[in-house]
Amino acid sequence: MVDLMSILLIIPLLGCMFALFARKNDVNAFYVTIFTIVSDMAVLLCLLPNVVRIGGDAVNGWTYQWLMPMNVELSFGADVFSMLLLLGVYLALLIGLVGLLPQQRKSKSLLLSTLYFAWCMTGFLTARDMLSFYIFFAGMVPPLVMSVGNFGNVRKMSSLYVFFALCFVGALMLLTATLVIYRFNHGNIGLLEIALIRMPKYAALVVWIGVCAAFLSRIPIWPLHHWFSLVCGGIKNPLVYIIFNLMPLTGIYGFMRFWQLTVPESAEVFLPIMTTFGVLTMLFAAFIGISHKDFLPKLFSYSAVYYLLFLLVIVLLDTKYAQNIAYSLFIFLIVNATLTVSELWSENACAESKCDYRGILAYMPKLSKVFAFFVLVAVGLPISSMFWNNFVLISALFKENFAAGIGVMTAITLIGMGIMFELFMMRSLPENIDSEVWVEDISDKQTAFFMAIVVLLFLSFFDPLWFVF
Amino acid sequence: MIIYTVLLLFIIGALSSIKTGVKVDKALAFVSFTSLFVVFADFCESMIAGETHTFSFMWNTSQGQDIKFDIVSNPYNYALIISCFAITVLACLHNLLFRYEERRAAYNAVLCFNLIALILLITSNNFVQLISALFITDILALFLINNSATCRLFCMMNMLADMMLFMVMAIINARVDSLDLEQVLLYQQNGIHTDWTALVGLSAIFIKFGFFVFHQGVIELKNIRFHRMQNVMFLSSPFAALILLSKFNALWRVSAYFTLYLDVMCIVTGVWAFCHSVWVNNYKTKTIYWMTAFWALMVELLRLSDFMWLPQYGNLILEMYVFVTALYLIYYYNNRRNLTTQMMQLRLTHKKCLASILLIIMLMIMASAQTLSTIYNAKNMFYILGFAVLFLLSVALVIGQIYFYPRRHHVTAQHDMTFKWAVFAELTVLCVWLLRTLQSENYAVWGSVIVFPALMLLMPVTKMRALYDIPFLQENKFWDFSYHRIVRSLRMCGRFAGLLIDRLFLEKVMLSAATAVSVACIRMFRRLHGSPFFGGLTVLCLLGGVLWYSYQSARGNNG
Repeated sequence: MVDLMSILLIIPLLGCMFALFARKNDVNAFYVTIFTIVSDMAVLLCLLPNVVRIGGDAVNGWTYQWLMPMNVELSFGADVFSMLLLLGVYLALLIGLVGLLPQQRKSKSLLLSTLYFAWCMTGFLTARDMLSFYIFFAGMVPPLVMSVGNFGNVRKMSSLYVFFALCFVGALMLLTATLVIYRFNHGNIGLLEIALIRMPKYAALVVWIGVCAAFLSRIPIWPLHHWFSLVCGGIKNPLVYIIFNLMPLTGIYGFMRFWQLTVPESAEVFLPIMTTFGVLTMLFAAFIGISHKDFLPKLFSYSAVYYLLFLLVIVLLDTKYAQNIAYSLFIFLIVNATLTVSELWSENACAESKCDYRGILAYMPKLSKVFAFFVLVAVGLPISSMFWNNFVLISALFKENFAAGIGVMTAITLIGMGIMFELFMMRSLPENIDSEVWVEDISDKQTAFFMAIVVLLFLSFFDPLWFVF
Repeated sequence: MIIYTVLLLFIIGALSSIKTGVKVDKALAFVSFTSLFVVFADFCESMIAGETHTFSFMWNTSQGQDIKFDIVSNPYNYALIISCFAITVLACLHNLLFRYEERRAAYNAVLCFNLIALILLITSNNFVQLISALFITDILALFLINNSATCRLFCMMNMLADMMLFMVMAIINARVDSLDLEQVLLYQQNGIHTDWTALVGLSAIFIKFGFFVFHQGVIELKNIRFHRMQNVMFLSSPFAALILLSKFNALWRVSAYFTLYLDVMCIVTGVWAFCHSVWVNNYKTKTIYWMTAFWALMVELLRLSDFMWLPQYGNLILEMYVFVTALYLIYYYNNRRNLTTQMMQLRLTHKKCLASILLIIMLMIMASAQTLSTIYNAKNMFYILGFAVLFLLSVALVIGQIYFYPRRHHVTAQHDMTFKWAVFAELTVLCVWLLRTLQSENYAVWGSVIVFPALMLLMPVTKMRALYDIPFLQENKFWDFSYHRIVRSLRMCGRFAGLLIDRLFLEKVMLSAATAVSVACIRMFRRLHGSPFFGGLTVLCLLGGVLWYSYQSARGNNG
């Protein structure tokens, strides 16, 4: 367990090193990245049975004594929640890599950023102490901003600056909270022990505000969603889009780890405000989503709605639903990544063959099948475990707050119908069909890859952890 | 036991979905139909034996809630399943006889899987299984439709209904803290927002039936092939809605408006559907309206029998299926022309076929009259008589128009259609079987034998034909416009919110304010810094103040 955990953290770093020394304008770095991600997934799958056997409790894995005189010990471990999320992240990155076009595969800096981001994500999701949690939380900002800045085709550079400022301020807020905790504990502390520190009320409030602000800066909640959508709007590189879309996950995960521990009673008055903002943003995002005519903005709204659903579930419900959240999030990450890749492929096919975007899938039967399956999963039909986990979560949400439940259901229904409608539009051939149009469909290898993911999702409907032996 | 039936159906479905060549496909379709028939016979035996058994396994365990998967075999479930099973067998048989599919075995597979979903729906004991089965039925409806892009509205409406039911079940689960369907009774006792929950749930069911106001989605089914339309209408959403209505009857009753809402919807739908079946020119649309009116009658009958499923209901569904098959035969022998006005002039080309179809329709009407007479009582008298009168009038008019419209010029069929003796034999045998308990003193049956042909001959077919030339009645612009308006207004809301909140408020107000504040700060510090004396001194004083404060607060202790 200990060795595997350290290997899990080391593999992406080794991958970074190999990718760094790979030849320029070649696909070596691409294959290194794929190999690294797949190897880390294999290690993760070896780790998972142990974690699942132990159950919901976190398993401590690897510790590293750093800065001895200052009592700084970094520790890493895992539970089912973090392991599933990590697996979801790796799969999403793998889907993004498969979705890269041939010329995009030669971009070494992008692949290097991806590996560095994967390393930060691994560290972040396995961190068991405050300092390593902060380090990896802040550490994923540079690769994110670099990849979005270089390959994101951001139309308004000012929005990228604002976005970077948001991430930076978020990281500073978490640093403040970390330093306050360090001040009262006289050293680094495990995440689960934060609640045990005796702090004055004002200090607890500073920690709480710092932590919440840091995590909220990563979630597309009103008014921050605007800059997210501005940055996201122009991204045409599937891998960059997926990396960008994984960022709210860090906020969600942060809330999952901290919410029950750090919230002082005095701060609970803010809960209704947060709930109201969450639900209103969900409705707002859903309405914006259906008003758009393209699939990608709809997909962005969809992911915003679902991330906010998970946020609401975490802050309103108790920890016994953690496993349901993990199952749902796992599927959500994969579905989101696949839809992004499929949509960008179809857009690219439109541009290359100069045909109409509406009806493009009618020319691409293989992609159309993949697309349709994942849209049906995304809207919440019973093809994956996301369906009944969402049922359990939404039901619990209704129990806690009826009005919030209604708002959440309305938003989910609206955005679900929006993307379903777009699927029909993309599948229905225009009346004046041009028979001369030839559109290149996805390759057999890519189809096989996506079919494997379809199988993974479908079997999860019967048992969400069927791949754990 | 039903679990064995499900397993066998799954095997048949899985084998039938194997992609093969044309010749093998024909053989495979035949084998799948034969096996399905054998399983059906076995099922009937189990039903007669009255076997009871519960198959249950833990589907999922989590700290939140455990989810079970149940297949309950009991006489009630058998009675519900038998009608959809029989229709599935007939659909597979017609798939063989009519050869209307390029890949017949695959179509049989979809029908088998659809039947499994319906069985799971009928035998479910908990919310998650129920809603899963319902959603699966809708997914399979997409396969039955095949070209879902032509029936966008139908699919979207179905999805909306599913999400509404999902919400209703989540609310009940939240309140009673159990996934068990029987716990709905607890919700009846101490539920919150009961009227709202019941009305949302009922509306969802009406959407699935395609009742008045929500009918536009179902009407879109006219864009797909006739047999697919027929199977969707009998084996998919409307049938699933009927089961839901029956299973959740305890839920609907929590609202005082339940009976009123149900009655109004059924009566209005019935009248609306029959009126449209008279004046709509599109033959497929007419058929859809007849089927919708039939489901409205079924809903009322079910309510009046206190949501207890009677064996006669299964017979009625089967009789309606036979009737729609007869309608398909008319359509088939008229070269699959969509407009009734085009069919009127083709009556002489297939005399034998058209006469046989008329015989089947007559037998079907007799069988229906017999079934309805067995359930006729003071409570349902109004609905049964109303339906019977309107049905006979509209069907007699349309059939009369097709058969007895004055011949204007000679038209021959484009294709030489062979007489499908097997289909006619099968339908006749089925009708005779349905009439097996006919008694000589059943006046309803003998009355229908006289009334229907009389109506057919006496109906003003030529005058009523004028209705087909009124564009207002044919175009249905009002509903298209209304649905379009709803979607547009939702989109406008999104655009308006985006402009007002994102662009105007966030970009123009908040971001501009933040920029203005930073500009003011920069200016202030520049001025301070620019002053040779005060600038340096002020900054130094500020820094000193900060150092002094940090010293005071920490008291020189950094530990």
